[in-house]
Amino acid sequence: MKQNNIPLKVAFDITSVQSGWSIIFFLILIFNNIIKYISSLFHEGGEIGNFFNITFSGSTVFMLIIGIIAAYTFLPLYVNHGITRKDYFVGNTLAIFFISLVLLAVSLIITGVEYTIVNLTNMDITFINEGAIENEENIIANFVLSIVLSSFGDMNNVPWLLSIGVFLIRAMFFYAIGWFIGASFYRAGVIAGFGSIAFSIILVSLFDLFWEATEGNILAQYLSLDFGTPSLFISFIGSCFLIAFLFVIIRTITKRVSVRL
Amino acid sequence: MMNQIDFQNVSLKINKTDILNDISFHLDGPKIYGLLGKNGAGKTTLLSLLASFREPTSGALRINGEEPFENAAIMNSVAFIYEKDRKEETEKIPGLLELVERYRPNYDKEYANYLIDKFNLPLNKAVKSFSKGMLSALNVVIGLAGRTPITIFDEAYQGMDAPTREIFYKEVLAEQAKHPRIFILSTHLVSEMDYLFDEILIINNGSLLLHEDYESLVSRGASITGSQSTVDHFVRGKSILNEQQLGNTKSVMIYDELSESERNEAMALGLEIGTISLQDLFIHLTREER
Repeated sequence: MKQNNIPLKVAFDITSVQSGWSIIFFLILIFNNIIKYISSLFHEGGEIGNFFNITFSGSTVFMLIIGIIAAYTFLPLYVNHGITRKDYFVGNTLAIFFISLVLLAVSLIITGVEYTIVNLTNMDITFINEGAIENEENIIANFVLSIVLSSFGDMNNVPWLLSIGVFLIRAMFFYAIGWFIGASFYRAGVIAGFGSIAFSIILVSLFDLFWEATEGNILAQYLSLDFGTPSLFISFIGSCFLIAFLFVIIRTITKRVSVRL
Repeated sequence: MMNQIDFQNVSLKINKTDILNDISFHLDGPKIYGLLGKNGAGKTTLLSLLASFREPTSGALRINGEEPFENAAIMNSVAFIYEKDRKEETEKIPGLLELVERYRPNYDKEYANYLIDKFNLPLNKAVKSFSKGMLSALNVVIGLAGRTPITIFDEAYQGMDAPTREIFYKEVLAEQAKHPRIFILSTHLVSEMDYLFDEILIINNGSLLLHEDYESLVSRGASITGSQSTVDHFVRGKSILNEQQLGNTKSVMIYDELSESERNEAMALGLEIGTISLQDLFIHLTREER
């Protein structure tokens, strides 16, 4: 009675469910931006971050949370439906990629709509561009934003693949971090769970170093670790390595995990 | 056809506590098996091993000769229906059954709809708002309509009222006639379910007390009633489950098969020999172990 394509089915199901959750995430962001637009009407020459920028920052928290929930929700659900932990793992791993794609696509569509509305209505809005926001949270966002924003100029010179790649890698990394923390709590309880959070902080700092975010970075601060300005190739490879490393740990944790009743 | 289950010296420890001790039995063929045990005896844990929710600490568990844990074909053939916490379940019945349909290849949608109708379950309400009885009925729908070769109901009747429980029992029997499979029903409410069982397993304090077919088990127990001295003399050397006395009249439950000559002897002595129910056997056998 072996069924085919179980991991793909699992991936599709998890993507549908968690993409459904992202509707709430997007609605909150849209609401947030509408409020900013309204307030900018009263201040001439208002500056706000565009939707892609906001999604970029917000997606990390969103992916982290749905990663944590995934560990607690989907593993018991699928084992209860007669799916092996391995098939579930492969399915959920694929789902991370698909959900990241959904976030990216929706974010870009809304950003496009946003720019169109602003242009059509001649609103006196300046979108905050690279370097305008200096806190470390937005450095990576601005890096990508600068690329994406240029798409509204010369469409032929836009490195789309790069902007899409960075968004996807960041979203996947934070989902994997959430999944790892959730799986650690699920498998081994509170103490190991908090241990996984501590380890995750180190991994996130390492990830940020690949993308030049050194401000407030614990590895940069305490170990004086600084990759300088790594080449894009190194940044991508390093980030992919971290994600793969997380997948290996998650698989190790969940490989023979007992499902709670 | 998946119809062989083997436990060989299976033990399980959780946090250094013995939960199951050296359990061995063999289930052979599509029958209805009753797993009896008091609360906390280890029934659910034992069944969770079959469903690959966890692995035994020692011993071997085989289904059709293969280890079920992480075995895709076998895990897909086992459905473990237990009282699940659905307080956060915002999904409605059709959404939940869609998932069953996607992952259980033998799922019968028509039969599921028939059962939903029979149990009078609402299709347009979120499952989290269901009463305990409705949740139990939903679980039964998932277990029966999924038609997995090994279907396990762990105290599935909880929260159901008597008429609903009756529907469940009838459907189990009807299903077994039409689509034979291994049904394992765990319960501590023995009296109203005993007619369902082909074979009985009794578990107590994590150990298997017995595994026998229903007829042999109930024929083994007998109650002997008569004058005190005659009864005492007659039951000497036999395994006594329970004694009751009123004046000079004594009634003793024994767990020993009586031979034809013993029955004749009892009749000649003026003793009355009665049968005892599975419920009585269960109560006294598990009490004896304490």
